[in-house]
Amino acid sequence: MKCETIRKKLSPFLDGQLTENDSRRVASHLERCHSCSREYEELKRLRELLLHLDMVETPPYLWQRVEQRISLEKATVWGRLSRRLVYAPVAVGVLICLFVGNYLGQNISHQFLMTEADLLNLSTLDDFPPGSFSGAYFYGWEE
Amino acid sequence: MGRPDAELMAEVAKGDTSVFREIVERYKNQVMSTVYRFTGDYCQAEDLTQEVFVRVFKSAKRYEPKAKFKTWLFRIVVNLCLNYRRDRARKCTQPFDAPLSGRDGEVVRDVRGPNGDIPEVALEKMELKRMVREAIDDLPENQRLAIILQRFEEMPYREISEALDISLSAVESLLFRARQNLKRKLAPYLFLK
Repeated sequence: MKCETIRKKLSPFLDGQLTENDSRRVASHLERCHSCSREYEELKRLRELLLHLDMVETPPYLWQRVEQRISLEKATVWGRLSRRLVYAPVAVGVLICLFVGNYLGQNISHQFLMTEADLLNLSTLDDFPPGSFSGAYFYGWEE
Repeated sequence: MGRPDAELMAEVAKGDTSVFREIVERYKNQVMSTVYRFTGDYCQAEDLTQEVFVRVFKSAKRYEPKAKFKTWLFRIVVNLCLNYRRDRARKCTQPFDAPLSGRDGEVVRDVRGPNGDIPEVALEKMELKRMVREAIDDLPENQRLAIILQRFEEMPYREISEALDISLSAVESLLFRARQNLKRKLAPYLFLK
C-alpha cells in the first residue's frame, strides 16, 4: 500500500477498527516507512494529550432534579388532560342545548304558523265566489 | 453487573421512576462528561444532562431493545448537543477554566497540581489543558462529537455512526480530519514531556 493510503488507515488502526488483514499490512508498512511511523507516533501522542480533557463529576442532586422535571412533565400532561375533561361536559351541554332549542323552535314555529293560517282561513282567498267580478275577469262568465 | 438495560427500559416504559433511577445512576457520569467535553461549560452540561434523561424517560416507549441502549442514549445526547449551539446565548456562561469555588464540578482547578506538583508544573499542565480544550472547541461540531465518542466513550465506529446517523466511512473520514486538525493546533505540545 502507498503511504497516502496507509495514512488514512492510521486512525482506525490506532482505534483497533481495522480488519486483521489490514492491520497486518499497516503494521508491516510502519516497520519500513519512517515518515508514516512518525505520523503514527504523533497520533498516539495526540491520543494521550486528549486525556487532558477531564471527566467531570455529576452533581449529587442530579437524580432529584431529573425526578422533579419528570413529575412536572407528568403534572403538565395531566393538567392539560384535566382541563380538557372539564371543557368536555360544557361542550356537550352546549351542543345538547343547541339541538333541543333548534328542535323546539322548529316545532313551535310550525304549530304557530298552522294556527295562524287556520285562524285567518286564508284558503278561502284561493277561489273567487261564483258570479263575482273577479271570477268573471279571471275565468269569464259562466252559464 | 445488574439487570440488562433493555429489561430496565421495559419497566421505565410503563412509567416506573424507581427503575429509571438505576438507568440514570448507570449512565450519568458518561453523559455528563461527554456533554461537558462538547460544551466546555459546566452549567450547560448539567442542564443538558438533566434534559437528556428527561427525554429518555419520555421516549422510553419508543426504545426498541434490538438497538443497544447506550447507542440510543448517545443519539439523544448528540441531538441535544447539536441543538445546544442554537440557544447557547441563554443562561450561565461560566468560562471553563474559571475557578468554581465550592462546586461539585471539575476538581482540578487549584494552582497546586492534584498530585502535589510544584506551581510551575501545575501551571504548565493547566496551560496544556487549556490548549487541548481550545483545540477541541475549534473543531467543527461533527468532528468534535466523533472524537469525544471515540476517545472517551471508546465507542466502536459502528456505534458512532449510529449515534451520529452517518455512514461508517463518514465516521472514518470525520475522525481522520478531526485528528489532522487537532495535530495542527497542538503541534507544539505533541512531544513535550
